[in-house]
Amino acid sequence: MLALVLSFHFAATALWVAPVGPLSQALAPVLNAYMQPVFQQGWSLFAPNPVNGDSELFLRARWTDRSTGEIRTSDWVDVTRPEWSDILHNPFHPRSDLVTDGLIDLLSTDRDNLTDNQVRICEQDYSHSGWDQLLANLNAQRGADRDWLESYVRHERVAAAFATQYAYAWWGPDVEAVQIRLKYTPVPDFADRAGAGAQPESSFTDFGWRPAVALDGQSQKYFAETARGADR
Amino acid sequence: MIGVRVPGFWGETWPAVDRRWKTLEGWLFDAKHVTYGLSLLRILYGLLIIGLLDVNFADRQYIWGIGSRWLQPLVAEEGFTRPFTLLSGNSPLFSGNSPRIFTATYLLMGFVALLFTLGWRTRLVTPVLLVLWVSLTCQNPLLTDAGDTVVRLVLFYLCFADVSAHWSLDARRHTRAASNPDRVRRIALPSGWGNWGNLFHNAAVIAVACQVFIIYVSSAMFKTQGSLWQNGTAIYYPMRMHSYEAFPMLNDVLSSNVFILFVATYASVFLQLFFPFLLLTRPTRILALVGIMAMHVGIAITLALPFFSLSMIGADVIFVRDRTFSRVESKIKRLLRGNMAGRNRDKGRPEREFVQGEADGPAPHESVLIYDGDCGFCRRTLDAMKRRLARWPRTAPYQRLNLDQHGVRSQEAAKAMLWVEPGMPTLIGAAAFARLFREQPQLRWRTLGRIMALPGISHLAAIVYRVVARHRHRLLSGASACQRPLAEVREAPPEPYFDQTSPAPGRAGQS
Repeated sequence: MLALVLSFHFAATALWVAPVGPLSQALAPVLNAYMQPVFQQGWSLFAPNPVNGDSELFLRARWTDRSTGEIRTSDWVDVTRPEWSDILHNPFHPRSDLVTDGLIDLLSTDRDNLTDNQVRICEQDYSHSGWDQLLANLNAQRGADRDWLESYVRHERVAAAFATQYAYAWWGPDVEAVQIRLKYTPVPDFADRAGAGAQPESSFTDFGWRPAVALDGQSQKYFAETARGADR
Repeated sequence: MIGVRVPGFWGETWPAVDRRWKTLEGWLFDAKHVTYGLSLLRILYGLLIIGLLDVNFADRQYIWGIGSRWLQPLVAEEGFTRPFTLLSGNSPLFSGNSPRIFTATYLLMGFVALLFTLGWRTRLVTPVLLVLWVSLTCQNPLLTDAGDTVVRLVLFYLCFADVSAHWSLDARRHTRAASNPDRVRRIALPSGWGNWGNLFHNAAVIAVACQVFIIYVSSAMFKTQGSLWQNGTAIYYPMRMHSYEAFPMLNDVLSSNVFILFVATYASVFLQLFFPFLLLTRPTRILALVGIMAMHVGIAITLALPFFSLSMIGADVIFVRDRTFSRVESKIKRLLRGNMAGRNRDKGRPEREFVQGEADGPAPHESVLIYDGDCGFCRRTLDAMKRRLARWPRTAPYQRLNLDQHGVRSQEAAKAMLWVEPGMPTLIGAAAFARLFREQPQLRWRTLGRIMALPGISHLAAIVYRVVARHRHRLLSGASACQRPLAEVREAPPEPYFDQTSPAPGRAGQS
């Protein structure tokens, strides 16, 4: 009996961690129900190829000046570098130094799954029309996967909620919209490791303006006290 | 032909299959295995959790508490439900939105992890720690690394195991209770219950092992698909990334060297891919465990991932045998005792007894090594060897032994060193040395012992021994003492004493 339980458990685990194939597709409902959430796992670590570059997250904000009624836009601010300087010389750094690392990973993985038309939609300003309109426009594209796009917009909203907290800390509570930009700089190729060749070019991924958003229960105080660079 | 042979094949095979099955059943039910490994795993995971809570203490609200509520939609995607929602924003019980209650739970978790490390009532503490661990880590899916997942899965399996058999408060309590029967208040369990406990414990051991295999083999299979892993430069890239790089100087030096990089890249793939198979024999197991632990130490330093590394090292220690742990433990104990006794420990120490390094109570071996106590050369040779060899049977000069009791004649004992083991043929001269070498823990001595016992070589060794023994009185000063017993030998009839199979008289046929 116990042998059966163990065999089932590890057969399911093996199927779960393996690349998707006909068998795991056929068994998907059983596997999902069994493995999630407690046995959820994935071991594609630094694989098939390790990410071979540094990613930075930039953000900026827009607000209406109360005295003049003028619309103001801030400069781009790098929120990743303060985290890096905290990691330097400290392998036992707190995991809060990897927040933007995780967020960039989430956003860029999502972004890779968008069609070209959908990418163009994402680069537009939705600070006034809002999240539902963004989702509707993405869904209107050919070949749209509704469930997946819903989670895509959810992730964008999470990123905007993160950016909003920084923006509140830096530019005050009047912030109306935030924008995110990802910068990717490859590590020089191994052949150029000495740095003699030309430095690799950075590439940028922009998201359009999004409405500032604060989620339920979010404490601005604890965010501003701890987030790297928020106290500048 | 095959059709004819099959029934015979089954007739012969079935008893063997049956025997194997009985062995497996015995392994599962008769005793708890890997008790040392799981105890060390417990300590390492306890320290890991305490360390992780410690380095993140100042940032706790930002990472998991009310400073992190911008992550709630992602937390919901993970789908953890009760009982793993203790710290969630909408937990009615713990009110995750109160920073004070969050901090109190955080500290409670540190305390529970401390109890776990010390091995206090681990049957209860392990599941509590699991619930707290998952409740905390699932609050930030962006910062959940592979190490968190390993700890979650392994802690789950450990709920079914006895993780406090050694180095724990539980173990101390059991020892005290056993030595003080009045205080035993243990509820008498129905007989057979302990066997079921053993079964669950051993199944948990198998589960942790399988989990580790899945991690290593699947991650290696993903890596083999990558072009950078194939060309041997893969680890250069993460080592140059700011988010992994704690010591840029060190990483630059290590990752610029083509040779180091290539070996490290390929070693980490192959060690993982072949890990389960390398465990099957002792030499390859040592290679696999030392290699994989070195890899994780490397990851901890060069990629700034110490907690992930510790989670894997902790799981890997279950593949070190109990026997090895108990040997190390007794060695350390002896060392500590020796230090307390001061430098006199080498003087006046009684003959070391040969002790078999089994975990379940050492059984005194009844072998005796008999030598010529009147021979200065023999004594000095043995003294010199005693400094090098760790394990000895009872060693005594034949002049002080009641030789009849051992089934040996004094003429034999005067001629050559003897290894007498009840029920076994007496080993003479070179064969006795070969046997002594085979008892040593070090591989080099055991190999030498095995080679000396090979056909042909054993005969050659016996001849060399005989020549040396015959001329021992000329070899070193103090030889005069050796001449007297030699005179006795000359009177005795010649015997083929290099024949290692000659049965011990009076003992033959007893076993």
